[in-house]
Amino acid sequence: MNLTIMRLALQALVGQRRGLVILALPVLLVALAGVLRALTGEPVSANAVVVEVGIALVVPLVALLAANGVLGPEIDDGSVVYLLSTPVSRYAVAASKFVVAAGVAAVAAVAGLLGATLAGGLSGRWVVVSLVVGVAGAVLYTALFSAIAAATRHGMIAGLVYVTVVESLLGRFLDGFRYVSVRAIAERLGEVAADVDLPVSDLSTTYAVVASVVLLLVGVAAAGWRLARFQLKGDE
Amino acid sequence: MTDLTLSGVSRWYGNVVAVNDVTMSIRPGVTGLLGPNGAGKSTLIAMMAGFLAPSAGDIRLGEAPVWRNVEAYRELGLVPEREVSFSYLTGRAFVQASAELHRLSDPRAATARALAEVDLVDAADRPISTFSKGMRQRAKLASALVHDPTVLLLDEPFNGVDPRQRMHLMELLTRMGEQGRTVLFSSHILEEVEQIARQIEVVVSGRHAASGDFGAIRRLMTDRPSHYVVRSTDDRGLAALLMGLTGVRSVALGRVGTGEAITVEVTDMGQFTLALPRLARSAGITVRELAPSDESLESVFTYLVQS
Repeated sequence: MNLTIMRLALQALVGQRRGLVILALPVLLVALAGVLRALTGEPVSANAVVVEVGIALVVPLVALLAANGVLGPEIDDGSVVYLLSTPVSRYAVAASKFVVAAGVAAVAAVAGLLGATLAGGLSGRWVVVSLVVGVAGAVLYTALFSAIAAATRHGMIAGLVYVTVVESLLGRFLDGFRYVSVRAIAERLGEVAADVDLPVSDLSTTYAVVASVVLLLVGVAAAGWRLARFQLKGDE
Repeated sequence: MTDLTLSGVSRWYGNVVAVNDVTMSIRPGVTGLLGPNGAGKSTLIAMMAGFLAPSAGDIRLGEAPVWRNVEAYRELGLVPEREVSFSYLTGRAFVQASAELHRLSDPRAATARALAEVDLVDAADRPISTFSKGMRQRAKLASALVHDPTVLLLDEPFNGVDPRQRMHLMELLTRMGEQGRTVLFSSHILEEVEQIARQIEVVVSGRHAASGDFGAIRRLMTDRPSHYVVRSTDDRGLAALLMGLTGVRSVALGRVGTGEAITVEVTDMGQFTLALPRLARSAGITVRELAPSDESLESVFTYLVQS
């Protein structure tokens, strides 16, 4: 872990336009909950707002932006060479950047889910769901998207395809897909913590915990591997 | 720890060979890596800096390999051609980040020293996005110098830098060479290399074409047959006189460009340039035009490669 790398990554993430988008997504979620409640005069549907919009869309999107914001642009334009021509291990650089991306994504995710829960007038159990699924979802999605970005040059598109096709479309019709769904794993952790039905109760808790740990390790290792094999290309 | 040794280094991309079996040793002092655009200079520097794996061969800094060895960066400083894109940082923050990443005991003082070295103190607290090309170049240099490296690699450091800053940069590199550091910079402009490099390595089409001090390279380049185009009031008369010079190998009359002219192949440039005006005056011939027809660097390189 390296504090300088972390500080630079944070500046790169929140100091640029990408930071505004990461901020805008949770704000929109909270606004949606607030407006729905003001119009209907009763608490919003937790399933419609917190789960289907918040957990299914806002959490993966902020993680996607954060994961691809700390490493991708610098590798694409080659300026990461200024960080790498130092005696800092490439894996330490990758781990530091991952921590920042996961942290920013977690803060944005929790802020959005928690804000929507409170603005929508939902019960205390949903506060716990917001905290647990917000943090777990953001961190695990960041790990997954870091790994995807290491494997393909089109990390953003591949990540979007994963969220829309694998999780939303196929996951809806084929139960088996929940074993490769970050959303299902994070929701399972939320179910265990908050005693709500999300509903992914047939996924074993052990599997969810083990899969989370494996995904985390793979995500950080993949980002480190990507940096270790980084090659400077000439302009010619 | 100050010698950079390349042994049989090649690099290919698919079936395109970018660097072909280069063996050279870069020693303390300023070395110029000279070659036309696309000759493989950037590829060579990327490999020397440990940012590209050689497809074959081996590059060592002292005894240690540079590829996959982040410890090498304690001794190595790199100024890539690539633009700094940390536009949201100030010049000082950018250099200080480098100082911190090198785990220097006093990053603040090292930053101040490096900024003073490259003469960027006044603008240091402005964001890099407001910097001119020359200032960005100096910020990159300060970041590469901050840990006091013994080996400094610079890829096309004079590109896009205005003449005054170029002179300053040249003085800086010369000074660093005199301090006993190994300084290597690439350029496609002969004059730049001549001014500051004691040792010159010429690379053409990925091959190590020539190596030597400034004088040796210059002789290779000037002692070759060169071609001149001469136009005068009496081409045929002047051609006959020129043929009498020992330093002239051939004279041809014919159409060059838009009109008739003499094409002279010269083996002794010094003798030819002295004799031409004298011969012309004694015969009452007026020389209207004298121009080298192959003075471009590419023709020089072509010659070096063929020899």
